[in-house]
Amino acid sequence: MKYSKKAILETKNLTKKFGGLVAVNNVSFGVEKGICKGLIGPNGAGKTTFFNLICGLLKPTSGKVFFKGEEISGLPPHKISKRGISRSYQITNVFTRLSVLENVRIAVQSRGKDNYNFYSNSEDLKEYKKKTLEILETVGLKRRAYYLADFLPHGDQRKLEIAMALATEPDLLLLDEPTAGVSIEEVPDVIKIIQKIKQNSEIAILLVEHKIDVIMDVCDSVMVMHQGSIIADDIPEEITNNKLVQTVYLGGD
Amino acid sequence: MKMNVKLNQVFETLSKKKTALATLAVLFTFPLVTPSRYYMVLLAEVFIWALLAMSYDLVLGYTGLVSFGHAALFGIGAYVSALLLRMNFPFLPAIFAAVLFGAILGLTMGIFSLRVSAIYYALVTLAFAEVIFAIFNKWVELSGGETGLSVPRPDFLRSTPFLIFALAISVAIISILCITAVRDLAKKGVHARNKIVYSVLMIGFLVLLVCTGPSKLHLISEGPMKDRVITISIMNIYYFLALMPLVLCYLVADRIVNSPMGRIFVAIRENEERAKMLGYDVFKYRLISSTISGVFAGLAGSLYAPFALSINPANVLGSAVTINVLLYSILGGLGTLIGPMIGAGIITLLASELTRIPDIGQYWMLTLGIFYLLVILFLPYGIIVTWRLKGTTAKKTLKKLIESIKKSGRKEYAGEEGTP
Repeated sequence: MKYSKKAILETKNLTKKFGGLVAVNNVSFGVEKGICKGLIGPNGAGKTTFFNLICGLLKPTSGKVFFKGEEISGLPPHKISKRGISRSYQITNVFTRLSVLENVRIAVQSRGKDNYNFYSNSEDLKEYKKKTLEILETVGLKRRAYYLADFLPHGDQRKLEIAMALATEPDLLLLDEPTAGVSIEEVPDVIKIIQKIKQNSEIAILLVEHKIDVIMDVCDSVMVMHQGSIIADDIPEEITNNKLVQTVYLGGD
Repeated sequence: MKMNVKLNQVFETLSKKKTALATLAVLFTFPLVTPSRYYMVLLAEVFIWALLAMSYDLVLGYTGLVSFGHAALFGIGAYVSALLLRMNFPFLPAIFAAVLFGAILGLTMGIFSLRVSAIYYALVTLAFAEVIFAIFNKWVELSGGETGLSVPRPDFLRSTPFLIFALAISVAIISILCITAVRDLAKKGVHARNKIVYSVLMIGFLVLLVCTGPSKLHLISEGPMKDRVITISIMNIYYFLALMPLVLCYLVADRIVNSPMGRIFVAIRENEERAKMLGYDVFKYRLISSTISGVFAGLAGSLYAPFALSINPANVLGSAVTINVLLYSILGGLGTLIGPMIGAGIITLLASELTRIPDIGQYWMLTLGIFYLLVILFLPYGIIVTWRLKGTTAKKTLKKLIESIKKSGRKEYAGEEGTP
């Protein structure tokens, strides 16, 4: 195992209960810089809850989350985001009535110094626009910059999700099923985007995914979650051969 | 040389904003050419409601907060300026105090009510406004209770320098408009017919101004008619007094909504959770927008008090004010600054005109109600927004219609072919 480097994100005994249901059960794990870690598991395994715990939308019942060595559990979402965690959503969650450009620009702007600037015209602030167009280029949406986000085809909306998550210059990127609902022809595009992100920066990625080819192509290691617990954590090749994982996915006990 | 280039740029930008400039010119010259005092007073009232509607749209249309307590901000502004004027304060400091109180109340209301969202926010703000209304209604020493307070005319309004200042601004705006128009006409590539139309319009406008303007100015400088002169100039001044802050506030608000911070407001309106995930402190930004809205609403209130000459809790703090402003915004078009102003204008003018119609005038509320229904039915996004959308949808509808006709034609043809 290559856990020798210090992890950028760590969870210690993270647990979330909804009444009697234990959605996330005593999870301890870590992700290092520059690593893309896959998180797979059957529906209802607790993956999205796990994401929500990390980015602050939910408060853990017990356990802690550490980011860059500091505890972040209990902080409000916007503060966690400012520290360098960014996420995309499983169900597309963008500013539907704004243009693609505006969607990404508002994300780029969040890391700038102009958030309390109420006097200059936002069109005049060229550096944000330039960066926005760069990011749109990365995800291949530049030519659709002036579309309303709502009018984009689903595949492009998924790319916009990634673009927005990327635009905040995170150190840790949480991607919640970036290929959910994406047609088979477009899946390679998404894989390429993730690979580009990996090449261009030292970013750590935590990726929830159901499509095994995406996992095989981009992940350095994979965790398997089942009923809130991590049942396996290994390199992708080993995971596919893991008996326990196979039973879980095939619905055995 | 450099100066010249800059000036050129300024006129370039101005020529892109012809509608705005023309509207301004018409508004500023109106008191010089109209014989009617009635309309000037009415329009002054329209400007005040327009300012209030604009302030409401900053929270409702841009940040997505349905506040039912907006009357409190307006009323506090009106009462602060009324009380200070009664203590013989000069008018300008009274306005500033009113604005300050508006801002503070906007902030306080925000702090208490922004903890909850959507309908709960609406209810908390309503409760807030009702508490303030109740306090003013019962605290007779302060507010005059249900009878209200009479507000003295500020001395400042009687001064000729102010009127001359207002006239100077009118003249400046008209000159800028004329210069821009002349420059545009001199450009190559303007259609000859358009050139003629523009020239005729401009010359007509100037002739009207030259013919009627001086008669008004004459009245002001005339000695023996002094008493009459003063009343006329006061009416003029109320008009300008309401119009100038409105224009100024519009420019400021326009700046704000197009600024990076304004974009954040819109993002929050569109998707609160996502804005949070991008690192924006939603609560803080909403608080800011609530405070800004308080500033403008307080200003509107402070202008209303000396305009109405008498205020009472019901007509400045009552929930009717909020409802009216909500109507103006929805009818005009949410999320545009100009929409709510136009809404305020149309409704105020319509209500006033309807009551003047003989026989059916007494049913003005009914007629107005039907008007609301019609607008909601046929202009669902409000007048301005629907109008802006219409450019594309009208074309699309036409296209669809033509296509469907073509298709049905083809079908009939195919049917005939098919029958043996």
